[in-house]
Order: sequence, then structure tokens, then C-alpha cells
Amino acid sequence: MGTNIILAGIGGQGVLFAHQVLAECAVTQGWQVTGAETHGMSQRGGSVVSHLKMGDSDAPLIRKGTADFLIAHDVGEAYRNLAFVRPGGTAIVNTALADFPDVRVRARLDALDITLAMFDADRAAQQLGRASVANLALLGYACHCENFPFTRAAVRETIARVAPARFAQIDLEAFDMGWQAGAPSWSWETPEQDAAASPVSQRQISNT
Amino acid sequence: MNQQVVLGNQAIARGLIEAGVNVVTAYPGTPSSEIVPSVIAWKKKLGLDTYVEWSVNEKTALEVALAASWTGKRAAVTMKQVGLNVASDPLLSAAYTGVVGGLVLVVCDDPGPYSSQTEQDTRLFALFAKIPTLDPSTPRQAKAMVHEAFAVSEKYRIPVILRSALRVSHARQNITLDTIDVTARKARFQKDPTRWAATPRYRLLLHRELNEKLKNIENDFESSELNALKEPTTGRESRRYPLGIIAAGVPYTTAHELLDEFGVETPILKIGTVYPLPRALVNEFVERCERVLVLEEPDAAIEYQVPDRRRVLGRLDGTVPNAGELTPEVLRSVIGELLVETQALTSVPPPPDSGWDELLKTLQLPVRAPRLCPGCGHRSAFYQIRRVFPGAIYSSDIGCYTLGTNLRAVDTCLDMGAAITVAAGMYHAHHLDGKQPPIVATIGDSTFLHSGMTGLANAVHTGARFVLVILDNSTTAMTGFQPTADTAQLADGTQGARVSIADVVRACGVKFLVEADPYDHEGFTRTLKEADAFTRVNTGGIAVVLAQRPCVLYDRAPLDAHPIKVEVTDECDGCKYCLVAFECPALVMNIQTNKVEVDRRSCVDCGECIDACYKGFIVESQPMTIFELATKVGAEQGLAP
Repeated sequence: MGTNIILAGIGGQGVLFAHQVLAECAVTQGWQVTGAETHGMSQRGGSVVSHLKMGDSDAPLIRKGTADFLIAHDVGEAYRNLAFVRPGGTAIVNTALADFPDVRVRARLDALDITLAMFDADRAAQQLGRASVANLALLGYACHCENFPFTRAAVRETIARVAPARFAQIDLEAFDMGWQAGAPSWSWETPEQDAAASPVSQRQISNT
Repeated sequence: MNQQVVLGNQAIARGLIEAGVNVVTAYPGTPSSEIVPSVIAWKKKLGLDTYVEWSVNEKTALEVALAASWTGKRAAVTMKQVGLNVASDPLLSAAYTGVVGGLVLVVCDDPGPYSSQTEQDTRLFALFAKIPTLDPSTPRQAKAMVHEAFAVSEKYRIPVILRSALRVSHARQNITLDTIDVTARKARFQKDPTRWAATPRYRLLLHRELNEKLKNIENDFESSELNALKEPTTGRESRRYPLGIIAAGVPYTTAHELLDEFGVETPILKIGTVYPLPRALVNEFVERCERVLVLEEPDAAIEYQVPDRRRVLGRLDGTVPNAGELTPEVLRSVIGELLVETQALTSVPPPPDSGWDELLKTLQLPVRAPRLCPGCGHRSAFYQIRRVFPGAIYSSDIGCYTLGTNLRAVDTCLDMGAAITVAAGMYHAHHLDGKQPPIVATIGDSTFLHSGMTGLANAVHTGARFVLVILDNSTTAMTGFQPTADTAQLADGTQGARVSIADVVRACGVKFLVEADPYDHEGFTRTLKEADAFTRVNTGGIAVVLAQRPCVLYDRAPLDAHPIKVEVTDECDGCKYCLVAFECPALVMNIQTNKVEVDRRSCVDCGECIDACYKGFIVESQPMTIFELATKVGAEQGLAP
């Protein structure tokens, strides 16, 4: 069985680039990938949702309740796409809000055994002086999640390969920042050390 | 590595390159716009001499490609589905004349619709025009079908449509890069007036020839690998299946996945060659099923062609909704309910997402309606148009500026170019009653060149009177910044000749033409008033204002040269006038303070909103002096100033 990932955000947040990185990474690992993305008016501040399916299905859209992961770059878009996450799946959300999620949503996530991982990727990106790299910080953070189908090393290598040359350096810095933010305090691996590292339990991350 | 993850449109482009296409023409339109840029990227990367153009409109594009095919070159033309309406005149005739080199039309449908004025089905157009049509389900298939389309086109000397759709064109898949056909095809036009210049007498012969071609193509399609029957491994011995599915395009892949989810084995016939439909193959399948469900998008092209529909369920009998995208959720209930009826399932299992919708409705999530970008010159133009002509009739057109509806400065949007013809019709209708209401037409630069200028010639000729504002942002912004003929830049970045919109307007006989920058409020507003006056004097007529301001996403230089930082003063009383009348995404309401704020993340420092607060509470920011800064910091820390 493959993995279904929904990436969601607002036009300009780099959702489609994050999709491209994960898709290329999956192909490198021998997966067939199919996906869909919403375009058109997205550049004018609209919602952007992309569906990434690793496995044999040719159907481009992920059905509601069947996504293993939701990677949301915006809180509103996170809410809007939670229905895609399967029971037992994981939602990774870029947020700095103390009141996220709504208590009823939290109760429902718990009832469905959906793990919620929250990370302020925007702040990480601002520290690097470039708001548009929050998408990669969020990917770095996501690499810690249990059952996430990619290792940090594989995603990192893919970013280095597919990012436009002038952005590659800062993209990788953002990715590393996201990874480090997600790492438990006892872990301070260098980029070279983690290739074989086993994913950290997601429960631990959401408690930090 | 010869694997690449690409958009469906890029897979189609790669298919065209591999097929050795010589000429590619197109007019941009979602969801087809990425094909040409991808063809150009491959052309440059591989050093090919492919001729590529962004044509002025789809009719032009098809005619150029068709003529190239008449010389023996392989040609392709790409467009969105409504573009085929514009290209329909040459299309129907080309079916009769036929082609020499292969000619493939890539036409992208938009079930939903997500970014089109209709949900029309190109495959029904194909039936009407008698053009063979292939219907891919995935980017990989779309690429493979490009080769097949050229093969059919050249074998039978007939144009072929490759009908893509949003969920194919904007799907992403890994594809294999295959070898490229390098056959040299010399341009050699062989004269044959009875074909290329056929009079009605010969047209009858060509029509008979076309029918004969279609008969033979249908025969070929009966055994085509583009159609595939998948039968259950068990139950074959029974006389008839209780339910069979015929599916094409994206609904085929969705149906397949849903049957897997339900754990039900149902025979499914995939149709890739939608027209002419291999009727023997389909009939035989229908015969073997008690009931047959037809799944296709966006309308019913296969279903119409099934000779015996007595056991067929689909859009025509209402089993499948007859509008909107066939999303997995829609098909889940259609297929699930039929499986229950045919006793393959005892009940439809509840969808795994149940309950979220009701919960999320109570959260009041922000609605992200499409809006003009911060700094957009269209907004400045619309804002002033509304102020100068408060009760006017506003006819508009297809493009970003249709979003002028948000500023209540767009009343009509019909099709490409109709801003001008609708304005003329409105004028003549009111003129019959002895009235001349203010009428303001707005149209973009690319749309004007596409279909606006014929309407302008007509309006001038017939004495219509209205103000026409041509919103010239120097590019085709909505579809991804394709160059227009009003710039000298060609599709691949090389130099062409500029066709000046101003010259075209003058050549149409317009006597009032003023160029104005919508950022220059005094000048632009004065021009609008002068234009209105010209439509009302004895010697007057149509007045054209050429509103020139580059798209902020396309060219930031003019903005960056003169940034104007604004802020909202503490006096703001939260009246929301600016939010409604100016409608800039960078002006936001702070519900805690009940004051408007400038969203620094999206503001582009255009300063255009200063006028939008008639109370004067939006002002240009003044740089803070050291003393002011120290006072502010001190105050924040609770120290006395």
C-alpha cells in the first residue's frame, strides 16, 4: 500500500513546490506517483490544495477520509482539509496560534485517533529573512512524523536537486531549521548522521 | 534518469515533442496554458526547430496549424474548451478538407467548472464536427495518446482531437521520457482545388469521404488498445452480469478505486476512443450485463452513441448528476447505491469522513474568494469608473478584470470580446427609446486583440456611443503572463513585430483615444469625464480610454521605483467604506480594535488606497524621527514620555 498526502495552503505559500519535492522524492524511491493540484485563480490569494498519491492508483484525487498525512501551511486551510485525513492519520499544521485547534475539532481528532503536529514554520522562515521558505521548514518538521514515507536525507537530497539554483541554499537552511525544531532535545544530529535515523514518535513531538 | 514527475499538460507537451511535431499554435486558457511553455522548454533544451506561437485567438491558431499540416508538417493546436467555440468555423470545414501531415487538437475541458463560463463537453463538439476523439484518464495516457492521435490523423488524413480535462491536465504523474521522432518532413503544398478550395459540389463528395473515413476509424477502434475490458476473476460463467460499468477519462480511475474500496468485482469497460465509438465492442458488453452504468465527463458523449440504451444508466436517465464534477464523493454514492440495488453490497458503507462538514460549518472559516491583487491597476481603474459613472451600465469581459464584479463595476461577462458588442447592443436598445444611459465597457489588452476589435469596428460603423476602457496591463495575466501581440515579444522570447492597440483602435475609426495611467487619479478621472462628454456631443461617438498600468505580478519595476507606504490613522472609525469600495486584500479589518489595518505581508506599497478613505484616515507613512521612535518605545515600556 502507498501513502496519500494532502498539501494545503494559500496561493504564494509554495504548496506546489513542496508537492514537487515530495513527488520527486517518491519517484527516486521507486514509487509510482499520481496527484492533482488546484490552479487558476490561486495566485490571487485563493486556496491551494494538492493531492499526492504514492502507489498504483491512477485516480488523481484523494478521497475524503483516506489521507495518511495533511500538511497544512495555513490554519484556515488546515480546518478546511481535515476531512481528508483518515482515522489514525496525521495532520501537520503551520501555526503560531495558541487557540488552535478549536476544542470540538480537538475532540474529534482524538476520537479519530488523528495525530496533530503543530509548528510555527512562518517564524522559522522569518528568522531566515525569507517568508516564502516556510513550506520547506514545515517539510523538515514533517520528516519526524511516524510513518512519514521519507527520511530527512532523501527529502534534503531532492530539494538540493529540484530547487532553482539561486534558492537552493536558503531552501535547505529552512528545511534544516524545521527538522531541528522537530527534533527532541536529546537529538542534535548533523545532516550526515540522520540518514538511517528512525522516526521519532509523533506523540513526543506534539508534546514539546 | 528518464523518469520525471510532470503535470498532465507537460506530459502532453512531451508527447508532442516525441511525435516530432513541427508546428504548435495556441491561445492560452485554463486548464490548457502549460502545454506551450513546456513545448518551448523542450525545444530549447533539445535544440529543436519547432515553430511555436501564441496566436491572437483560437480560430487563428487552428487555421495556422491546419495550413502547416496541409504542407505535410506535423502540427498541433492547444486551447481550452470554450476556445474550440471560437475555432469551430475552421474545425468543421477541416473535417471535410482533411489534412496531410498529422494535425492534433489538444482541447482541455473543465468539469466543475473551475475557471470557465461553461461546462461544455468537447466530445459532443467532436460528434457534431465529425472529428475522431481520444479521451485520456491520466497524464501518462495523455502522452501515449498524442502518438496514437498523430497515427490516426495521418492514416486517415483527418484532424484528431485529444480531449484532456482539468484533472488530467493539472494532475501530476511520473512519466517515462521516450525517444523523439526525428523524421524530416519537408513543407510541400500539393495543389488540389477540389479539396483545399472545394465548392459545394465537391463538399458533398468530401462529406461522403469523411463518413467513409469515420467508418474505417471506428473499425480500427474496435480492436484498439486504448479500450480495455476488465472482468471479474469469478462469476464469468453466469449468463449475465447484474451490473457493468462503461467509463472514460478521470471517472474511470475514480470508479476503479471505489470498486476496490467496496471490495466488489464488477466488469468495467474503459473507453479511450470516444468518437467514433467502437459500437460492436460496446454492444457486446451491454448484451452481457443486466444493467450498464456509463461514467464520463462533463456530459454524455459515450451514452448518446450507445445504440441500445434500454439497459443503460447514466446522465440521460438521471442516475448520474447532469452538472458538476464527478468527484470521488459524488461517484461513491452513485456506484454504491447501484451496487446495493444489484445486491453486490448489502448497504453503502458510510464515508470515512462523515461528520466533519457539519462541525467545520460552525467554525466560520474565512472565504477565500478570488480578488484582484494588491496594486492591480484594474482596481484603480474600476474605482474611478464607479466614481465618475455611478449608475452606468458596465459591460465587461473574460480575464482578471472580471473580478471587477467585487467592486460592482462589472455587470456583464459573456464571452471573449463581448464587452464591446454588449455595450453596442445596450446603446442601440436604449436609443430606440430616445435615451442614452452612460455605458462603460471594460476589456483587457489580450482579449481586445482576441475578439474585441471586430466588435469595435462594428460599433463604430453602426454609430453606437459608449466609453470603452481598454485595460492594458502589458500581458495576458490571468493565464500566466503570455505575451500579447501588443508587445514585440514572441512565445519563445524572440523578437516579433508589435501590433499597437492604439493603432488598431484608430484604424477602426475611433475619433477619441486617450492613453492614461489609472494610478494618475486626476488625469485618469478627467479623461473619463472627457470621454463621456465625447459620447454625447453631435460630432461625437465611441470614446476609447487606453488604461496603461503593467500587471504587478508581471512587472514590479514601476511600483518599486516609487513605493508609497501607507498607514491607517487611529481616527479610523471602522466604517468599512474602503473595504467595500476599494476591496484591496491588503486592507483588513481588525475586529478587536474595529479599525482597518494595512496587511504588511500582502501590501505592495502602491499608495492607491489613500483616495479610498474619503475621510482621509488612510495616509502616507512618514518616516519616524529618532525622538518619535524613542517616545514610542518608551510608551510601550510604560515609561512617561
